[in-house]
Amino acid sequence: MRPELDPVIHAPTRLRIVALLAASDEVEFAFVRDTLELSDSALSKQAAALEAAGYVRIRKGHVGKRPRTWFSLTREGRAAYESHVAALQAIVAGSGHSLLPARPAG
Amino acid sequence: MQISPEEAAKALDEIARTRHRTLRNAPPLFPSWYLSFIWGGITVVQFATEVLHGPASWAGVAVVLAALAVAVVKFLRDMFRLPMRPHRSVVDPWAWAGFAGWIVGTQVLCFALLAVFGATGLPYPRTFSSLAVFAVALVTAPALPRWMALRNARRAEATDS
Repeated sequence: MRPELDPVIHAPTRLRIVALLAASDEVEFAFVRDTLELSDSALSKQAAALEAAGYVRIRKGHVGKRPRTWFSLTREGRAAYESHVAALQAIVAGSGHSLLPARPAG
Repeated sequence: MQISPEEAAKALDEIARTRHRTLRNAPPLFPSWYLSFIWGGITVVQFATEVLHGPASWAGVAVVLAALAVAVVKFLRDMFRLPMRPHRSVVDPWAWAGFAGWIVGTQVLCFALLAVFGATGLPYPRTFSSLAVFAVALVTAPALPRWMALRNARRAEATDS
């Protein structure tokens, strides 16, 4: 099957979030926010969009008395990301450009 | 959806940079206190079975087993609460080889010290050799999961360069 670009993932902020999650089993909200230098509201908004697409699972919990939120890619999310990366690589390779390495995690 | 090769190349570059930053910022791979705790438990068991006798010996072993059970639960809970756990696809197999090397190395050191202490006639050689390795574990264990996380980051950077 030919890899397809995924419009849900392709938006720049969502692409970075999904790339971060692809390298992880599970990631805490603050780690994503700080690593990608996003605001709380921007991350919440994008995470909600990815969750609505079925690509991200959101888990709520506590560390001590403090509430925490963890994100992880669903199986569909990881498959969509890998397909998206493969499509990007195919576009670059097809153009004769040197292929920038960005191997999908998984 | 159509994009230009330049846009695709830029997106791939962004993905690689995000991956590197993620792994560079990753916390130690697991809570290091657990390894020291195991060696602490081994030391107490040696003390209980070599120095103590009768009911005190059994009580010492029972306390260690109970403490180990609590430690396993706490370890799993701590693992579940790490800010980031790397996906298996980005974990460097050499990091786990290093982990296995540390486990084997501390055991070999313990047996070597036991042989030396036994040969020199030191009293309670099992207890003292375990105690020495417990001290080594206290010093070296915190560096191990940090080093493992660093290996993952370096491997990703080497693979993508």
